[in-house]
Amino acid sequence: MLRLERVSSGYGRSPVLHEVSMEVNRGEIVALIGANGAGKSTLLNTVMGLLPVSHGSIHLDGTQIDRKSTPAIVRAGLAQVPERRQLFGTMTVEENLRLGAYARTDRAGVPGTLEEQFKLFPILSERRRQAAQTLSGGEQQMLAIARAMMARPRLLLLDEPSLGLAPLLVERIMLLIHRLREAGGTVLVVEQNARAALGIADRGYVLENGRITVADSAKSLLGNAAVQDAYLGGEGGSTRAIEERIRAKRRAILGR
Amino acid sequence: MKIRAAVVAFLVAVAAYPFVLKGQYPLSVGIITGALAAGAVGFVLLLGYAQQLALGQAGFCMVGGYASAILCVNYKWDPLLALVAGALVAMATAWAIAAPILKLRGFVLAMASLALHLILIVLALEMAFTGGALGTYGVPKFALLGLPLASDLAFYYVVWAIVLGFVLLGLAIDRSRIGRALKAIAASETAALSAGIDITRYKVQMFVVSAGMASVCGSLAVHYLRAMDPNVFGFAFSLNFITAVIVGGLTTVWGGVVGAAIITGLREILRGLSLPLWEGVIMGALTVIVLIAFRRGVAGFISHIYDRFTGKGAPRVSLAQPDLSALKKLEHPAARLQVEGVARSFGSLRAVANVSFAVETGAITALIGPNGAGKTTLFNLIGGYQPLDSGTVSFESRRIEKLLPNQIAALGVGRTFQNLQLFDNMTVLENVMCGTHRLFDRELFNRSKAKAALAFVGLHGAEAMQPGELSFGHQRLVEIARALALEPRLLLMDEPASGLNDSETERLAELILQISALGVTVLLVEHDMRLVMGLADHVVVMHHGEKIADGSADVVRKNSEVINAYLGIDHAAA
Repeated sequence: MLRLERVSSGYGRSPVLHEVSMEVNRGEIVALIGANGAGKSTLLNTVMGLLPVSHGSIHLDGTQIDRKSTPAIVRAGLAQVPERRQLFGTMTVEENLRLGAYARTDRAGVPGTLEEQFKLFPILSERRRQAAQTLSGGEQQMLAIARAMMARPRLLLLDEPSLGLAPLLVERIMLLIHRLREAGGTVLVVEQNARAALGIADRGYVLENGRITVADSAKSLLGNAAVQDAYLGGEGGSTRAIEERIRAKRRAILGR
Repeated sequence: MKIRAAVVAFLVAVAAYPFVLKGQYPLSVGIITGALAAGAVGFVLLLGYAQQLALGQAGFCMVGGYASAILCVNYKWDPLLALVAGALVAMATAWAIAAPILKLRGFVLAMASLALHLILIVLALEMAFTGGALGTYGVPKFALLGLPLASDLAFYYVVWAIVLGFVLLGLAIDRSRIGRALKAIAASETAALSAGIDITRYKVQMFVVSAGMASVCGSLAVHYLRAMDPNVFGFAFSLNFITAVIVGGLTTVWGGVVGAAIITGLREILRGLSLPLWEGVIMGALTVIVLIAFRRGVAGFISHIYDRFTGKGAPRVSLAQPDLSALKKLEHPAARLQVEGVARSFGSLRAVANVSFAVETGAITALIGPNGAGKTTLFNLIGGYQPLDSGTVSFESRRIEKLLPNQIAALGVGRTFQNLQLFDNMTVLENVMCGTHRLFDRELFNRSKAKAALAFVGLHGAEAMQPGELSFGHQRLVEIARALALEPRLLLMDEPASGLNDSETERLAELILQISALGVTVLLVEHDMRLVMGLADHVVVMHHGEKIADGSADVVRKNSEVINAYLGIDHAAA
């Protein structure tokens, strides 16, 4: 569906991405994981046409999209849920959702899609007349995803959906993403929280310093020793082990 | 070096001008340019530094103009004394109206200040002592305390000496802690408050200073025109002023001088071409072209070229190990925070409802809870960023719930933000120096204090960089260093681990422990349970605005209500 071939891109003259090749097939959830500054957001912004491609090509269902403007790419069927949500805070939930459908040409279908979103995210239905800024963090993330879905995208790009969310909500959001796929959606999710993202993904890519270093099924990535070391905290990377290390440091530094 | 080069260039240009372009006409242009430049320097301080869109500054030119005209003609005052008197009246007026008018922002402030200008024009037209529509005539030539300036050349040099004085004053402000505070306010008012900077105070100061400079501009112009009437400083003049500083550039006071020279120079050249119809059109088009070509104005462009020519590029970072000996242990660490029955609602939403807890001196206390539980709101209430509906907050023996954020910061309460609030118009070192604002030390001490804080977090290689050149994790450290430079007794951290990966999170945990070892009391909001459970001596749990649990990490994690509301099974006690 989406295919990147040896794509390089970046800001000004310094490239951030170096010959990145990857693909997302119809009906898949693909996770892109990597450290801060590895180029994950740059990759999404490049796909969306917000940054120019200096080398390589990007195709969506066989159509080259790397020379198109962002609005044209949105019309072609891509939708991005940006990092930190970027909602229209003073507008109501419903207004935010309707704005997501701006690029659509079939106005008549919008109310139907709106109802679909309310069915998928019942809490948003309850809060449809409330200003977006009064929602809690998790609800805002749901609204951001629902807003992107309003464009009936063929492919949804999610940038750090778990950022700033409580542990319980991270699970819930990941479950929702999984449900989107069951409803026929295709998702590319970029995550710092590699464990959560790989937990729902079919396949995954690891981005390091602007290069794809590992590409595999999500299951094998979770079992991959190098990936565990770098992104899942290694052998000792379980939640409890990190906590214990921090406690040991506390005893050493503070003596309590 | 750059400033010295600019001053030398300025002196050479001013001194040489009358000898290069000889005659009465170029000299007149030089004098009027100088008068405009004097006011424009003040306007840069107001618009560029304090970011106050007050467009009615020509009103203060009227104050100066009328003061000089009336005092010299009707009361035979010495012109210099009249100029000073006018400036004092203008500054007093500015000070009196500053409190209400600077509460307004953006376009509303622009309209309000233009309205004040309009009031002055109407008053000048209707009052008897201004001479009404005819104005006041027969203003004498300028004189220095009885010493008349016989030639226009002498007046020219006096005008430009005043301009130089204003520029040097502006540069001194720029390099002082006031200038840094203004830059901080422009970049992020919230973060400026957290560093203990009193925002209103500096805005008012710049409003008053710029009013004085505008008044001097008016006085000088009137002594050149030898008459004053309500139309001299009308809206057209205001527009001239605005165009001059925008074309010249708002990032440095030199922008006012360069802009004034370009605007008057251009107009005179166009006048010389005698194309009355096209004058306005060409003037407008050139302005637009300059604006598009040089985003930071002509002065900003010249400064950029100078930097490039002298090879002052971006330094590269080489990060070092944290130097833990850089900061000393607190001598008086007492920092008990007591929150008692605090509540805050937004409309029908109860964000924080009757929450009480204590943060003991020297402890690491964590505030956790689901998104929307009211943690950040509670943080903002403690820091004074939002008013509370009821309840009390005490820091040691003082009640602080009615204090402003900068006053609370000044008591020794530092703060970092969930979404980074760095000043992107300053270097890393300057960012951290803002943290020393409350200490009123000499700049040398401030600098070394800021360097020590950077060394403590392990960023001493990054002092000269812009925050944007650092990775996200390092930017977090800059914010922590800025909070440490304030020498806090209590440090409030809002989700410090948000956006950090596992290894960065562990390093952050160690840093927080080292901060605690200095004697600093820490209160943090955090979602990363590994950090919370590993670090905290005491955990407070909020849900739907209420406190649902309060105790040690091990007690809280076994609490079934906390497990259901927040932790889920994964993070609960094994």
